[in-house]
Amino acid sequence: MCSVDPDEITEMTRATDGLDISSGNVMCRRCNTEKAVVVLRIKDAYCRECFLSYFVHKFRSTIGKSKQIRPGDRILIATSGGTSSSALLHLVREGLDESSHKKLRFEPACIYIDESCLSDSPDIGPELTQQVCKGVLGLKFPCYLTSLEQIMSSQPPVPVLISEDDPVELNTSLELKEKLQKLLSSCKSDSAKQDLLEQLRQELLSQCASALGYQKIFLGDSATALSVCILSNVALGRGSQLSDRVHFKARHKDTEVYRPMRELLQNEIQYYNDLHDILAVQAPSLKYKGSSIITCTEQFVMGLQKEFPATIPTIFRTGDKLVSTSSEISKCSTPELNGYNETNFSSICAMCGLILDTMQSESSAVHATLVSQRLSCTVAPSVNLGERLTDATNGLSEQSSSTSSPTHLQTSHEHHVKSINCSSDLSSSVGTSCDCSQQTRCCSTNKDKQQLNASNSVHKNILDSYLCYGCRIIVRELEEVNLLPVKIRGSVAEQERLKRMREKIEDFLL
Amino acid sequence: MPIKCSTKCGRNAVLKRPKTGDTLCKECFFWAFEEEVHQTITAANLFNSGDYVAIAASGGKDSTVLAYIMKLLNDRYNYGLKLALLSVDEGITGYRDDSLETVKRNEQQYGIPLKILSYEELYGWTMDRIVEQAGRKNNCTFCGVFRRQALDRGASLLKVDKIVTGHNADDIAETVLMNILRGDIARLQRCTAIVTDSEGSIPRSKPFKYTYEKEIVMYAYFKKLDYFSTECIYSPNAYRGHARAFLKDLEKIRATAIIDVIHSGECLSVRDGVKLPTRSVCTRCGHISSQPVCKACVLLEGLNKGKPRLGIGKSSKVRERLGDNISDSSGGDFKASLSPSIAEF
Repeated sequence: MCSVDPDEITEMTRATDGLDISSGNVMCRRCNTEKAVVVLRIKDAYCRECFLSYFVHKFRSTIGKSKQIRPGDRILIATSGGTSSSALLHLVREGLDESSHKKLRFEPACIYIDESCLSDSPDIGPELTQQVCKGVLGLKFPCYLTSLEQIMSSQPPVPVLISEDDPVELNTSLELKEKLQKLLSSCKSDSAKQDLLEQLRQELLSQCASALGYQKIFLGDSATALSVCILSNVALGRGSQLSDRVHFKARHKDTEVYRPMRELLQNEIQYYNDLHDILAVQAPSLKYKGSSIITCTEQFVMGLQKEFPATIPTIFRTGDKLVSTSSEISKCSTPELNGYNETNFSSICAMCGLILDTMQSESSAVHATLVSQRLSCTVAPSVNLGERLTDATNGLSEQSSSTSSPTHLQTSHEHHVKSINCSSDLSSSVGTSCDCSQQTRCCSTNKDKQQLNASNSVHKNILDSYLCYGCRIIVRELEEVNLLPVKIRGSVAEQERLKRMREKIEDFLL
Repeated sequence: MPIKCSTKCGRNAVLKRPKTGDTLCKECFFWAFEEEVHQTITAANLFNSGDYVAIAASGGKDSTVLAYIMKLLNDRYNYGLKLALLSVDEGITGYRDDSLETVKRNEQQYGIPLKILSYEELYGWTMDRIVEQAGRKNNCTFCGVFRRQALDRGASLLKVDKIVTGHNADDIAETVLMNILRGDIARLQRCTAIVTDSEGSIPRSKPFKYTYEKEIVMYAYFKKLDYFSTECIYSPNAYRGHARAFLKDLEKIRATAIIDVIHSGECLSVRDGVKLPTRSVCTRCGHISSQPVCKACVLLEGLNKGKPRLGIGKSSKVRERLGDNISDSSGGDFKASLSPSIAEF
């Protein structure tokens, strides 16, 4: 589309004043016959028709050039009621109705996740749900409804199909709501809370799609949202998962997740909505008191974008070119048992379902973190660590009364062994004799452990080995690990049992 | 009620570690700090016994602590290294001349021989004069490109086997963020490597790769190490400042964010099918370059011809203009440098 070499480093030019079309005299730069109504990229003015054709073309070509969507595919479109989602639904409807050969051919349905349990005023929940469902049904899509707390249940979620006549009545479970709220309030930081919610949301969508028999999901993420997502995932330690969170097609366990709005900027989507009088709903969401990593990133990107208009397109293009290095490393895990799952079960994270990235070499950030944690619990070899440099140092080193020992190599080794009282001991309890899946007494320190299903409680150290780097950070900030959804803990406990069994019979496996 | 050191050694804690949040006493902190650098060095096999290693010293906190630690670990663990200090004088009045005094003091204090190279003798230009010519924008480009070549030249003059620089975790995290913001995927792939790819040039490694800047300052403070601590006078306008501010905000929210960014950077690589620059050699001076003429030669040519913006901006335009210049004039005056490898234009 452009003559700019996409692989060159972008020169960051500062923003200049935008084009002002309020006078009504500016002509569309494309057709030059109509009056301009929108201004894109600061200086480019377009009339209604040209803008719409550009916008719709971008949407359709994103889907078309990937060649992943076949006629007859059943697709579940996840809508939040917000700007991007509403635009997505409208675009899909127009595309399906299109009479030309360019018509979109697949069979969509919609799903809305009711997140009213998160907000302080849960009464507005039903009203908003009503609004969103009405919008969806108005566009003649089948509409399914589920609520966020369903992720906490041990049964697979059953989304409810909404029809025109019945009032929207969602079977809410107070018990599940409480569980979810307890989990969220046990997060020590807002960053962990926000990240955890995002993982739970994706997981719920995936489960709903499987339950309803849909292999493919559409998400309405815009280029702006994805740019923020790229930077915030890097900041959260989820760099290895960028391709699954940002590229057009991603796999999440059994479902494929697509992002057809990914090349459209937030302001362009807003213009589209305005021109078509599409109303977006402000969904209830958690108010974050402090700052979180994701909100900090968003503020940073938006601020930088104002100063340097090339920021968001550049970040987006960069994210497009990046993949993970760790997909090779994680292939060397245990072989499948009876072809258990298509994806090697033990190489995906138990919480977010994406590839594990923690099997790194000794010279890596993961290893360095473990070393630091261990050393922070280790006592220095000798009280008077009198390392004297040459006499010329003149008192730079610690003055010590005892002589320095030249045998530090040996003493340091002894003291590594002596690292007691260390909560994050490297020789974690994975290898200890206690079998966590049976005996809750030694592992779970929670007073309410009687309420927990004994075979599904896991110890923090064990859970850690089944999580990716980013999810480990979340778990580190949880006060009580056993508040996590039962399904996650259950799958970890099961894998742990399988591993134990395997260890016992290892010598006899061919 | 004084807080006790979290290693349970019995002493009172005097600081809280930015990296892990543990409260430590001085001795345990020194131990943890030194051990971590030692682990970083051994896990990555940075050195072999008998290596001659040049420590890039600017007089700032990173390089002062680096020189101290290298000497300490070399003695304690018998790395068997021969050390030297290598410093570059960019010619920034009020900044570099002061910090060079610190390096000279370090030479005395640690007993490590020092070699200083200046931009004046290598290229015929000081940073002050470059900024006069090129303006205050993009001058970090000149300084950075020239300094890297200067380090390489100094290292080959001394005939060292390896160079170590004081880049710390904050620097690397900033670089990862900056490369994403600028769309520089080639650098993004390379910047988290602890050792630079070394075909044809002297390998440069970063023992402080996982060490927080704050901890380096803390170490220097408690050990009473002497360093020069002012910002370069030309730096406020650099684009890197944005990445740095962002990283500082992230660090305030979550202390481990720095290592998390580095981990993310380590996990990233480039998709198949994306064009990456190829490594070749500069046709004029023989240094490593991805273009026919290396950046340093381009920048110098621009300065000497009175077109200081030549090296800033798109490489494709540079090629056109270089072509013009050659047909324009024959030769042109260029201050003779001490090093014979810079060709005459």
